[in-house]
Amino acid sequence: MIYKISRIFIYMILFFVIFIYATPFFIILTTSFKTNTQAMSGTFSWIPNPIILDQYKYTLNHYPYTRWLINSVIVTIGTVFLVLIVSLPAGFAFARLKFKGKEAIFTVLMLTIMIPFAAYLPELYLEMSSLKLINTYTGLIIPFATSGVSIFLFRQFISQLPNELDDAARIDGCNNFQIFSKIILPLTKPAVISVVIFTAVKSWNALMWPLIAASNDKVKTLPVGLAVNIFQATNPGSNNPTPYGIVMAATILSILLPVLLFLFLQRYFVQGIATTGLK
Amino acid sequence: MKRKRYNSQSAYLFILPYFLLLLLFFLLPAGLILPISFTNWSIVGSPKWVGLGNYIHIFKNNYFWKALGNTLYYTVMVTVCLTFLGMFLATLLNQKLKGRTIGRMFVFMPYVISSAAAGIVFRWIYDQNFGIIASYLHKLGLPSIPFLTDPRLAMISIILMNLWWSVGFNTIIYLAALQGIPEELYQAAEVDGASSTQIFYFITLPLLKPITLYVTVLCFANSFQMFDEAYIMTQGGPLGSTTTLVLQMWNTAFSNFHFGEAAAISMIIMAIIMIVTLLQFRLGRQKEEG
Repeated sequence: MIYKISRIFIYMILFFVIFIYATPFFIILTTSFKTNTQAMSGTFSWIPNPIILDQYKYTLNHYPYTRWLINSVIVTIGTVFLVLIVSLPAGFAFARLKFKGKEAIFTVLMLTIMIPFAAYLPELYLEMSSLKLINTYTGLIIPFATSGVSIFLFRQFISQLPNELDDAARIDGCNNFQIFSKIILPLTKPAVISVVIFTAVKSWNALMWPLIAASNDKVKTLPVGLAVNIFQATNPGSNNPTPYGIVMAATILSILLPVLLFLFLQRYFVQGIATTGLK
Repeated sequence: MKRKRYNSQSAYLFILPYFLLLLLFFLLPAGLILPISFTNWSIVGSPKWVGLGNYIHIFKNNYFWKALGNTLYYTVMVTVCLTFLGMFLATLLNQKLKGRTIGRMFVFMPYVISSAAAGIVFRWIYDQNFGIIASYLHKLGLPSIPFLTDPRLAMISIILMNLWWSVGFNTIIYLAALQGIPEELYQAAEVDGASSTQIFYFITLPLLKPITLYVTVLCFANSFQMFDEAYIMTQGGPLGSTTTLVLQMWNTAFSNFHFGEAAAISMIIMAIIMIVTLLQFRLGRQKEEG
């Protein structure tokens, strides 16, 4: 009896949690199919009546939305590749090789994790603008590749692989580069998935740096377009209320790709995040 | 001996690409913060040395203390709430329940959407005239709640939004940790007649300790740098009640172009984060030893 009651109670909690976490998504979706008048009527209706697509058409016609989307894709893919290219070999070196200054460099790595990105943002901006990298893809990508987090992850992962693998290959005459590319690299897949997901989410959603480094629509990413060009531009703090129908359609368009990827790759996604926490 | 030297030479090649990036785009800008913080640099004109002038100016400024207070309040609240909520949701979603897959999906999903999208959605939910909460309060004949326009409520409203937006990450970490606890431990405890509450306190909780350290360190570092949410939802208002240190640094640099003063704020931010991170690790190590 007690077991049954507590069971019902747990199901009620689960239902409540699902309701709370699903509702915001539902609100975006339902508002995006409403006319502005209906959205702003003061009475919230869960099902739009009539269901219209005008807000999506308006968003796609009035803003360089596809451009922002392509920019976000380019910047995210570029960031992921750069992070993998620089961190995988470095992680290997820290896990497997002996060299002078290893400790010192490792301390600097700790600093990249402890010093917040925001702290050197103005200095980075000044440097990037003197290098003429503001409003370029390169300028948007590079700052996300200096964090040592992925190197830590790769080092951790690689040092757990058995040493015998390297020794056997070394006896067969392999040099470090061959050991890295032929033996170690194929085994790092779980850690690579983790870093890819971690980096992609961070880069796709980044707001602070692109706000100042991507003011030009040619390189502007989705979060900036959504926040500045659509949300803040239609929300000047005046008496005109924000046209939430349009804003929500734009929001749906901006979260569509990550949400779909998440739904299809949920298993990898969860594994990837979980890997960052395991020591 | 020969092999060791060979090792060391090629090791540098492995770290070279990363090291170049690190040198140019981390060490150089981060190294400039301290010298710039002693100047009155404001983009135009040549910077003049002002010694500790910026720091004195900041410490005498009420806005700084208010931003520091806001930041600490936000950080502590978010770190505590997100840690407990993450642990709670993971425990719930680890039970053998029908519908837990859907539960996991919706709890994890907000993590992939941008701060811009999340902030905008909650602006809409909180909207005093047309939002969903206002609409239902109105139906019940109750006055609407000024979530983001009342200085006493604005920060709490941002914290609530964060409980939705960023708890998925912690939940995943805790869920993985829970699944890593061997089933035999639970079975043995059950045989000994332990209640489920006792099992949680004496088995689950102690085993979650190391992961809790990881989660709180990460939570602290992230929430101490809060910027996006305030930028989108309140722009730091009303009456500066949601202005964090990072937002103030941002405004000082990119609205007022006082790069010298902004650098001084950065130094203060870095000092606080470093002290707290070191304390957290020392605390964690003591706990593990003791």
